[in-house]
Amino acid sequence: MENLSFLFIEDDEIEVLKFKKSMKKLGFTHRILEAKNGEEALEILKKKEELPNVILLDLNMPKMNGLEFLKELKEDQHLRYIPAIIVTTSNNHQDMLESYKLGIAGYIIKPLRYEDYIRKIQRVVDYWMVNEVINF
Amino acid sequence: MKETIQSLKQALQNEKKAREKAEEILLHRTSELLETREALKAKTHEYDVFFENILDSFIVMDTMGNVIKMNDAAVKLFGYDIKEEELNVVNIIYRADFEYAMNSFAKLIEEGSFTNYEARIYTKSKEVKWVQINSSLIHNEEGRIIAAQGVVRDITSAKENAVSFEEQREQLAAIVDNSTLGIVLAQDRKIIKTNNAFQKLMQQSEEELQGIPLGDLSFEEAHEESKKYYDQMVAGDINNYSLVERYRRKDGTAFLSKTKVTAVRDSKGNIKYQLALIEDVTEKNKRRLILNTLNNLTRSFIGKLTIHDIAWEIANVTAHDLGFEDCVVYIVNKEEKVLEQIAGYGAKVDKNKEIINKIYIPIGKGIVGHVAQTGKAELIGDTSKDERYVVDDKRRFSEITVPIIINREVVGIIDSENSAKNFFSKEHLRLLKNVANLVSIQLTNAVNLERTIEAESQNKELLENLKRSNKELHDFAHIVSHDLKSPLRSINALVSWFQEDYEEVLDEGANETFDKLNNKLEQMDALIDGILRYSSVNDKNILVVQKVKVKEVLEEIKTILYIPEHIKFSYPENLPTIRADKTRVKQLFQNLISNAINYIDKEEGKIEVKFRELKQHWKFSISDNGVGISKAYHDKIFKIFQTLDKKGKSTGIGLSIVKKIVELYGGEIYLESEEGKGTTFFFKIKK
Repeated sequence: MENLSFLFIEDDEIEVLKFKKSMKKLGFTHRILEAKNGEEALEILKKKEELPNVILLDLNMPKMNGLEFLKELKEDQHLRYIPAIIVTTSNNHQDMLESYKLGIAGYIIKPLRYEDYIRKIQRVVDYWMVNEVINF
Repeated sequence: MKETIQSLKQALQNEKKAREKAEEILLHRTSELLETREALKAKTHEYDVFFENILDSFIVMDTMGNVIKMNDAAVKLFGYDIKEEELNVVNIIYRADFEYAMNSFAKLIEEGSFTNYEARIYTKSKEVKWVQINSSLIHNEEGRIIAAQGVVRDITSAKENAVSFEEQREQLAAIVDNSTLGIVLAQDRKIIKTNNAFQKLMQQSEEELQGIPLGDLSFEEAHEESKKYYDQMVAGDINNYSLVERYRRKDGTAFLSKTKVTAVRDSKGNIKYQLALIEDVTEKNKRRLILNTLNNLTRSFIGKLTIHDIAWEIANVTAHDLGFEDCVVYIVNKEEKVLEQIAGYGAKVDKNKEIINKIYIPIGKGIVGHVAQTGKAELIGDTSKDERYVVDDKRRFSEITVPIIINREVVGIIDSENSAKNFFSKEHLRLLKNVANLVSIQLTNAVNLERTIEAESQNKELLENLKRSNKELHDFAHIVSHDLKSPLRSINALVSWFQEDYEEVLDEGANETFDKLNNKLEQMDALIDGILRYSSVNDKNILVVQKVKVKEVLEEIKTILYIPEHIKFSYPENLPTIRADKTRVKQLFQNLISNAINYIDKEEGKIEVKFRELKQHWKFSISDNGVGISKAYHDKIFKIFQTLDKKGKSTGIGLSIVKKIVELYGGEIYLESEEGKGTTFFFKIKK
């Protein structure tokens, strides 16, 4: 099975840990790039040394928040094709609408239970594994 | 009485005698008469056909006045019919016309005919009628007079008309002479007749005016217009015209007139005379001017909110419209106790609308200062006789000074001076007082308006603030909920990891504790969600008005909610379709139904939804046979975070969301409950 690379943009340490632990627990060996906020993520992406296949990002982050990051991402001629999936606690209708308007590939609400979270992550990753993704 | 009868008898006797005498003569001339009669018979026969065909009365009488032939028209006119009675014309002659009749008759005999004899007669019914008679004698073959024939025309009504025409003429003359309008009859635009009013207006006698061309009396300015109209009238295009022009009196003064000229034409349509009606409109014009000034001012005040703006309008409009030499508006400076010139017209103002040599007049000093003190307007005919007068740029002899008063306080002065003595009239004074009132009203209104605007802007600000706080609250709820939810997730994850990492060490008790911890986390998460939902009920942005089938909603709820088997949930098949946001309707029913489920303590539970259609609302009820709610809590339960649940299953948000949704759709919610037996919630939603 081919390995994917994920860019996980999240300011909360535990969330990052949660994601990594989930991936590990699920037996996935996909590459995980990390960024603490939108700004950092853009820096990584703009270097174009290693572009991820899928971006997972939180909305509420310090400095550049999720929506601002999305806007910048979608303005870039190349980066705009990387599927970006929101992973957030906010089920705010407005946020969701805005995200989809900007062109996201998915919107996932973080469940309270850790087990539920793992299940959701599994499905997301599985989904992208059956997808043909663009390799830059 | 006896005497009267006696005299009448005597008269009758005389008449009889006269007739006998006549008969005697008649007898004397029997042969003659017989002949005559025969001849007459032959002659009259000729007329028979003629008789039938003329409309006028026609009679034939013998030389004695006995009517021997008359046509139907004559019968109708006289009321007598010779077929039934004798008629002698002498007997029906109106007494006063008797002599005239006899003379005419003599003339007839003498000359053989008369025309247009007009006299009055008595008809049989004693009515007096005017008749016109054309008569001629009838001769026999030998040339002897045998009778007279006459066409008699009833001219009574014509005579009456003639009288009333005379009367009318007199009445007309009276009107013409007494008319306040000047009336002039002219031929070829030269005066041939004038009435009293016109003579008075012009200060000239009828004789003086006679023959004068109309144009000589009026000022040249309107001559061209007048000529243009006159030419049109001569050409037959118009029959009358009117124009405003000034006339010159004998003493050289002028008056403004409204002249209306009408053509009097002959039967061929040519102008025979010109009839001119001349009205002195000088006073009328003055009043109109004053009214106009007021109107102009009122118009110019619109939108002007300060006395400074208004002052310029007063100065310009009044002075310009009324032909004042100047006009200065002062404003009272209460602190300095002076009057300040703030606007002007005339010598006091330069090209840039700046007041030249602005002066300040202490209150109480001069005429202006005095008026400011007393609040009473003044009209001064001769300032040289008034000690108070203060020379501003130059001395002027008459002055008018009117205060502007608001709430019994003089706030300004309108002042005008004129080089001529007694220039200002009482009308001017009245006008300026009106202007001052107008200003007072306008300024009071302006102040009120300002207050209203201020209040409105305050309201607007308040509303904006409210909107902002609402939005802030909404945003706040979202941010806070996110920030609160994240740590909950972290705690859950951390606990799970802890449990995983120390799986071997942890006993059942410890795991139970962790389960309780997780339960609390779930409670807290639910609470946060509740707050979020509550805060977004008002969010009209996401409200969609759609047709919602309530039955479908309930069916969906049945699949979402866990309804234990011992609870029977029922609703009617014919539930309506309402107009609302489906999500909200679902929230509404879901909250109420899940509440009902939670509080059912009976072995056989029952939840029933019912509805009724009202005029403007849908009314739904949801009843259960649960624990019931004490009356003391009926209001409280709708308040946020209020829960009667001690087990901690409830967040206390559900019912407050329900209430908010119901209110959002213009409805209300209440409940009936009996403790231990059950509860029914009723709510109405506007159609």
